[in-house]
Amino acid sequence: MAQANTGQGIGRVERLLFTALPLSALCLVLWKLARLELPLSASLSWVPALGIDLAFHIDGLSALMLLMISAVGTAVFLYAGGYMAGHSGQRRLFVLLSLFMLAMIGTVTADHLLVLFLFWEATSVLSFLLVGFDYHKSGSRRSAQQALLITGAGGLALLAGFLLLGQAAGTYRIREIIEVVPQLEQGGRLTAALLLILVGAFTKSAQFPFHFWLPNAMAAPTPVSAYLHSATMVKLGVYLLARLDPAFGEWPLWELLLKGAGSITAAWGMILALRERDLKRILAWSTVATLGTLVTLVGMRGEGASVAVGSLLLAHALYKAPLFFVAGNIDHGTGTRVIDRLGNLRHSMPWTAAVALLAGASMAGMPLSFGYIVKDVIVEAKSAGEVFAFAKAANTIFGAVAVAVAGVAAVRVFWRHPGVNESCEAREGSLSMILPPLALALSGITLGVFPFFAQGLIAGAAGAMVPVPREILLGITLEFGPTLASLALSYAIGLGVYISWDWLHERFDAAVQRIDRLGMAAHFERLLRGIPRAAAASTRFVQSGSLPAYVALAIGTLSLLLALVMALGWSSFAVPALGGIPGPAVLGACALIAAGALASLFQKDRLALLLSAGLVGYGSGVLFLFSGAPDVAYTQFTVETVFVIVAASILLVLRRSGRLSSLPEARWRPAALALAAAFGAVIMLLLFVASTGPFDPALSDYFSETSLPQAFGRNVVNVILVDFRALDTLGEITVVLLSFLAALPLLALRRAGRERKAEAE
Amino acid sequence: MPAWLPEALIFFSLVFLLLQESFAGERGVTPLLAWGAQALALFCLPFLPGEASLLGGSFLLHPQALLFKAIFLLSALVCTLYAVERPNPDREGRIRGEFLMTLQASLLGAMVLVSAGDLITLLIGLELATLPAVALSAWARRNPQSGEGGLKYVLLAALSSALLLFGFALLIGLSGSLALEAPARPLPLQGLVLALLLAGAGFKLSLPPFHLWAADVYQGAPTPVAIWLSTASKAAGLAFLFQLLQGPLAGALPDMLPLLALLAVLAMSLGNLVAVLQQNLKRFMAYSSISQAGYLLLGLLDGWSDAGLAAMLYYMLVYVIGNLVVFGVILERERDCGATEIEDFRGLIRLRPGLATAMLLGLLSLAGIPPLAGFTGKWFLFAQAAAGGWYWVVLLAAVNSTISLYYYLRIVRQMFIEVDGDLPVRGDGGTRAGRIIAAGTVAICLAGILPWLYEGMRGML
Repeated sequence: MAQANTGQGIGRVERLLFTALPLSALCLVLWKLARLELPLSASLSWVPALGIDLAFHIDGLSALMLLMISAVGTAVFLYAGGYMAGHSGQRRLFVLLSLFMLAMIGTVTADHLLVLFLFWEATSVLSFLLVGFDYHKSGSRRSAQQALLITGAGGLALLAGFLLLGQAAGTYRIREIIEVVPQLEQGGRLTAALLLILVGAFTKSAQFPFHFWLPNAMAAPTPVSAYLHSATMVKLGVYLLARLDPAFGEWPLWELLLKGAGSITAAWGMILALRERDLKRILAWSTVATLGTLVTLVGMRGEGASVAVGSLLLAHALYKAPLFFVAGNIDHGTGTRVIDRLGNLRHSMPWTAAVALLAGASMAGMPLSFGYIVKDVIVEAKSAGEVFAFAKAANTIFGAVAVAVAGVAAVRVFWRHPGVNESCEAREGSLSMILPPLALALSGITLGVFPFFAQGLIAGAAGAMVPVPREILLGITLEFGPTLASLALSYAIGLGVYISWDWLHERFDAAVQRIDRLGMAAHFERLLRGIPRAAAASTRFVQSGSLPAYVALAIGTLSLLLALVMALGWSSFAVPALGGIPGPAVLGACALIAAGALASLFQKDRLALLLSAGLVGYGSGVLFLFSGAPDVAYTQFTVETVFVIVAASILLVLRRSGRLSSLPEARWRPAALALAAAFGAVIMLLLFVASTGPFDPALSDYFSETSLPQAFGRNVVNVILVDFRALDTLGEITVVLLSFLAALPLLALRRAGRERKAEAE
Repeated sequence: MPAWLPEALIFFSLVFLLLQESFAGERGVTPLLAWGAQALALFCLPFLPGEASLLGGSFLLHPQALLFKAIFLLSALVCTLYAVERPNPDREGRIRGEFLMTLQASLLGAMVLVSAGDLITLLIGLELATLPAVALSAWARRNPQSGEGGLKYVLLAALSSALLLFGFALLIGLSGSLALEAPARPLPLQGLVLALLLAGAGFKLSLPPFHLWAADVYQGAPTPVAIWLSTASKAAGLAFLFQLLQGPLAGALPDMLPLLALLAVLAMSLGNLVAVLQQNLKRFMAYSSISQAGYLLLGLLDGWSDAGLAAMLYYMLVYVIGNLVVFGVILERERDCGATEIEDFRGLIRLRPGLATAMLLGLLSLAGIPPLAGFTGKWFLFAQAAAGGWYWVVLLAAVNSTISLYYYLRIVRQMFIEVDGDLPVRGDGGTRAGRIIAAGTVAICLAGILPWLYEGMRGML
């Protein structure tokens, strides 16, 4: 039983418990709305040292988003129960969806930039997991990764933008920022913040030039697409823009970028929709286009535009989510979503057909649907506000193709008389796959007949951008005249597009395929391929694995650094006085050093190289000896001797076993010589400069004065070692001893191994 | 409780381990002697006096040192526990008495380093931390890569020591003082001292262009040692830099900022770019840790402040925990089926869902995805850099975080690939290692949300 539970999805009780989450949220929002208790605020101290509070604020805009999240959420949860019935990952889906809903609620209610960002990124990560839900398909994994990379990159841009914005405004509270920013000077820092935030919002809402990830994300199961990619998550970018609109609304740059990117997305998204044959991808492109229209509307000034944003947000959630469910039902019932293979489904799937008709009517903007009112409001807003000609054209394309897309989704697949692929073996899904979309689509129609119900909600949402009176929605819809004419135009063109859909498809597909290579998706792919290529180049450069190369890089950098420091401070250095000609012993030592160094240049044999390097060490020893430091000279001689003997014996052992190679005839030897010369020159200069430094004799004076009276020793160095700094000496000895002790067992092991080998032989 | 107690505990455990090894033989060594001392020392830390000065000011205790010691002890404890559970002699060498002893020595050095009150003690602490680490990295004698890594490490470490010594000599001569404190007047030739010391510290922190040893050493070294190098050893490098910046270089910090910013950007970008192509997970983690060191430096860009210090320490801790988790998973898989290549991790989600989840969360935290601890840490660091006005650095750091997301996701994708046909070995996994990994994963999730960790650190400093 327990096994059946984990393997076969989840039971009804559990499903209902999960569904109770969005349902209770929905009831709560409706209750608060009905009692007019908005706005609500709450704040909890989180990291007081940095002024980060868990601050939340729910105003009209948040309430609208919350309503969409919880209402569509309820529908999605119910729907998923039927759609995923028997799927082994059902529990995972519900858990992820619940978490996602939580993150969405957090994002739209947060009143602190950092808190908002936290939830924002959480939605990105959860959408990654949801898009990649069928992780055993490589397409799913690739789409999920693409979505996360783009929204994740946008998220980081957003983070940087928030940081700059917060620094400039002196606060991270969104409500305070909205008050403060319009009074600030439009400087470079704010512009940078603005651009970064736009990148974040545009990636999330799939705006041009980041639009291409959204249709690819359709690899997700249908409930996920309906929830994330039509109703809620992709609207977050629009939400953020609307939220910050009072802060930046007066900026020409803001207006230009929003209107520009939004219009391009609206037109281009619709054109790309014509290319597709997959019903879900057609809907996805029309979602992209709708988001573009929303962004354009946010960029426009005036109360009409704000009202249009609010109503389009709501209307789109109410018709696009049901249409996604329709696509899911068709997929579920027939096993395909390709529109060429679908037709005449109304007999086998009557309920789905009804949902499609209702939702399609709203999407097309038929009279008596909420979509009609929204279209009206948009036309009104555009004629009131100034927009560039392109935006108007884009809106016409958007409106017309929306009609055609609605036709394809609601009429073509259900009515079209049999063509090549006439009959589809189809069956209607369970009740839970029909009721939720039906309820959403019906509420779209209800609001169309009684716009009064939505009025307060939309006025409240628009109020987050511009103060608006509450009666605004009714006032507009009753007007006739030029708006009607433009509506008629879009219906006419839409009908034309719908009828010639296949013809257009062929033309566009051919044309777009040619420019596909220049498209943003291709750029993105190229960028992704570019990362490994750049990585390969830098990897070859920095990771050759060759120790000489490592040392050369380190030495070269160090030489440059030191040379730079000396060049910068050259004027402050004193030129040392040359104190006559040194004695013959010193000259001899110098000759010894030079001879050793020069000899090592020409040696090919490693042993000879070691010996000539040893010459340099002995020369230095002689130098110390005649410079008043006999003890240092003694140490130098000892170290040099031991080193040469040890290294030479290792080399001899290697040579005897035939494993000692002579130095390769390398091309880089001249370069190595140049590097060595440069390093030598820099160090020589350094010593030169250092010798003029005004050394502070305090320490040496102290030791030479106190060593006899306090420690009873005449050899100052010895006294320092064994008395004044005895503990440090002890430490040094410990280090040496430890290394020795650590090596001892290894040697013993080797001997044991050799003995064992001898015994075996 | 006396201020020297943790060091004494570690020192005596070291001596006892040595004696036990000598008299009871290899099999008689009880690892409890090593990790027990570490755990006890960690337990003692909260009860130590907040401020203390011993040995005429050579050994100091202050909150900053305490926090660093906590990081050192934590990673030593986890390393030891990982190392002794079910070692693989072929890949890791003999993990017994002298291994533990050498690890203790390195730990002791790191602890002395943060408490050093003068230049000589500082240098000795640094050497004591580094030399045993070199020996450890060459521990797997049957693995030629281990020897190769060790050789590269010792040579480059020697070079860095030489630079540091030269810098110290100049410094002592110019200031006439051994004390590790800010000079009363600006020193002549300060720029030269600074360049030498910075280059030396760059080696320890594996900042480019002195980072080259890291990848070879991480790959060749036994994995527990790679963990030690990437956590405590890196923290010791940071502590060393702090000691210099609070001491002799205190006045020079404002002039150094452009250089530090450049180093930070270089480390982030180079580490990231090179990590993209790596096939071996340990090499990959080496480059990831190089870029993480770059992020750490952002905390310095607002000048020396308590907020910056707290941000860096917090990020260090978060980074250490993240690395302990990710490396723990790598070690588990390596011991289960010899997997160290990224490809070997395919299908892990089916095979070992717990390990895969831990790895996922660990990697996402390292990438800085909210609400995990890595994000919170990055936020504090970025805010520091922004407060100092280094907007272009913040921007590049954000870009780099995106690139890092790309390559961390590469591993995640492998784990989620369905394998048909011959599955890699499932393996039993160590129970203790599993528990540690689980605890670390929980810590990653909680530390990002619960503020009191950062608040507490900030309050202590």
